[in-house]
Amino acid sequence: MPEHEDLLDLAISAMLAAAPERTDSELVPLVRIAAALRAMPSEDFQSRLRTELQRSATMSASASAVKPVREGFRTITPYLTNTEGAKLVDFLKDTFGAEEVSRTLVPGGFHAEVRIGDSMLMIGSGEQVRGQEKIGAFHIYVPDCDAAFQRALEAGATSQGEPADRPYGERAGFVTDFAGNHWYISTRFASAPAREDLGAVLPFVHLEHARPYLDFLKGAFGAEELGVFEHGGKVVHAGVRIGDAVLEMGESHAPTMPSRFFLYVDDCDAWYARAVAAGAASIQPPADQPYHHRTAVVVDPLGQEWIPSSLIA
Amino acid sequence: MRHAESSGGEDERLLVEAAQSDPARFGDLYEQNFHRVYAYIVRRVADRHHAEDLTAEVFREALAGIRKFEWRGVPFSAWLLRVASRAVADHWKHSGREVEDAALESEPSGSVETERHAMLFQLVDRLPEMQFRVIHMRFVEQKSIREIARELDRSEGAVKQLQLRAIENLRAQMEVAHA
Repeated sequence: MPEHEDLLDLAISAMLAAAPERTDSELVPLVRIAAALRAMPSEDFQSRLRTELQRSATMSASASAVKPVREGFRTITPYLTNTEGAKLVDFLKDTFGAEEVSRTLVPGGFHAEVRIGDSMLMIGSGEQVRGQEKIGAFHIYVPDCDAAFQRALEAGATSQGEPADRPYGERAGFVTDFAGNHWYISTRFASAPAREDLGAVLPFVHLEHARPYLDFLKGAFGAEELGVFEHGGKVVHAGVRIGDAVLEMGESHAPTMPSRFFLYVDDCDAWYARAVAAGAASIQPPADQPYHHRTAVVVDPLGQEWIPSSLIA
Repeated sequence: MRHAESSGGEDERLLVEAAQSDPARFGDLYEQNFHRVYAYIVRRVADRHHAEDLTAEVFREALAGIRKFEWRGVPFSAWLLRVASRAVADHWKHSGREVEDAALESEPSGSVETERHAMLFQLVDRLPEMQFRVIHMRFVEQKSIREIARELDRSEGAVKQLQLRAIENLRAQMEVAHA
């Protein structure tokens, strides 16, 4: 005569094999319990999830203790690279009175950061950047356009337009440096209406069609339109604000320059995800870097690189 | 390590506030709600693997959004079950199948059956160690009595006895809890 435990196990085995048998009525409540136990969670899962959540919570707590945006940096920081980075730093010092804030040696070159007025630029130098040089165009505000223009020429730049009073309330002259960067050197007319703080150095993007790019910037980086000026069916100038930085653009047939922008943001992962969802191509998903940054790399529809970055502990 | 769940509105409110000011304290809310969320989900997807994935998703989302939770007198578990309900609906949607009726239930406190299952899973955690091992190996790892006997170095008869005692134990405690 089978024992009670044998009968229960027979019923359980049949249930687990999905071949239910007639069960002694006395055992039915126990078999019901056993049936419910088939769905119980594994102990391993509970503890793994507990550990994962604890780790995330700790990371989130330490991340919130660190201000994600670097002191002194605006949301956008142009990142120029050239095999002769030292020459570029010297050019910026001589022409615009740039202050070299840091220079860090890296294998095959260095990474430098310079301040011009209240704007920062990053410069990568050496063999490490050969073949992937990045340049840009910049609208730069100086106290004396004519003097800065002259210094630029003395430092080896080529004139693209003598200083002259421009219809947009500025006196400006244009130069190209040895690396190919464009500098639109400007001084606002004293009579021009006061404007909010836009920074001393504003990146300028040359592109064929501004409208789709404006839409991209709004979707990818939450850009806010500051103004779009059209003439003869062409967007001659447009400005957007991204965080606390301003990006300018104008339509032309000149090809878009291969530029790179560092983006200091509160949440690298969220900015990366939003940019990719808006159509940016992912080059590098967010990853912690040894220099206490969490960074990602995306490329916009014009081929320009953006590096969303947050500080980490 | 096994933990017990507890309940109580004011206690829960304090736990939520603690986790909102310090996410590292989220663990208490996890312990308190794990079985309920899991039971809610497993009844609707009927597969342990998917249920575990979705449960993990719900708690990750809850941790990420804990600071946005506003206390309006509704238990924290109701918020979790709403997140769970959405996760289950998405699961069915992505699996290309119609959403089952059960997945559409959105009772803030979950159904009576969900609560019964949650309690049962919680009670398993409180079984004496050897009974717990047998139940886990038999129902989660789906091992035969013979395999369990070999692993635990017990006779098959002893393992069957442990299984019987564990299930009787669970039944008795369930009856007490629902009396």
